[in-house]
Amino acid sequence: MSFQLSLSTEAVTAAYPDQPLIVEPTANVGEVMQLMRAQKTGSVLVCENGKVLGIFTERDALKLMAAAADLSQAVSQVMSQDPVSLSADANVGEAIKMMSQGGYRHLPILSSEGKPTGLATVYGIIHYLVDHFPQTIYTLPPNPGAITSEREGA
Amino acid sequence: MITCPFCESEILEGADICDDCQQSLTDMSIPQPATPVERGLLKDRIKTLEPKAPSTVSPDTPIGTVLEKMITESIGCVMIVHEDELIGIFTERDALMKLNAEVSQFVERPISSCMTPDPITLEAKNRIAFALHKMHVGGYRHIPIMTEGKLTGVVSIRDILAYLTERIGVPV
Repeated sequence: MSFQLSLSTEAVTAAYPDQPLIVEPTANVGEVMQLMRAQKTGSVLVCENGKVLGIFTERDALKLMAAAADLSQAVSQVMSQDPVSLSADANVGEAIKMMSQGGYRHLPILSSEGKPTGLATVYGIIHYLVDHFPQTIYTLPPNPGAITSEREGA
Repeated sequence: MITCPFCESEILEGADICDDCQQSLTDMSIPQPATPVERGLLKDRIKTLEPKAPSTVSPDTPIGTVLEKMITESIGCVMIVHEDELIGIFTERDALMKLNAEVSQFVERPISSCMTPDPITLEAKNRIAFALHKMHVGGYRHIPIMTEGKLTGVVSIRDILAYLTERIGVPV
């Protein structure tokens, strides 16, 4: 009960959103991909004058790689336009619902002026959920079925 | 102050037996699942998630072919199997980290040159809590699932999210 309550009252910003990585629409795809590798991130937001035009994710990169596409084109040519996004006051439950229904792994969080302030990720959501039952997850032995021969400290 | 559940005299935290009544206190430290979700995670086995059949390739498949396969099958990872044995995994993340913009130099090379060898695996009979633990702690998106040592499925973070969403009853 209390768990459901916190899902509908806690803002999505509690679910460990990432700092969004922002690129210009004119940036070329190859450079954007290298930036993603350097930052170890799965997605970038394509923004102009503080407004989100699109999102470019790992999946988009994979499609280009598979098609051996020209990587010198502008990222605005290959991004997903007008991505589904969350407002900063959306709650965690809404974020989870949007992700599982749409199959998204990243959702930009926009301020009331439309500026991107964060990026809700599926990892963040999982982290948030695990926080609600840490004893169940964090106290597991490294291998299932492993039986400790002695009690620790005994 | 902690009291003994049997004789209610004062005990020290972490004591194995009560000094007064000599009853064993070791059971007190066994964690108890507090919510139905936790009970489910510790009780339900990975096979209840119905892991999808894995997409497999042989180690000498060219990288270009593997990339196309991932797109046409709309999947995020392939398993590299040699003589019925799982030897590696190749995911979207590997493509981004290892091939990246230099992908054209690699398309002819065998997938074994850039796979992640010896991935962490779980058995279908293991509890779902372990899958969540591995994914969260290791940062994985996919875990190969074995049945009696043979690769039979793959569980993704999406399956786990769907399971949790359903159990928690995310408000609509």
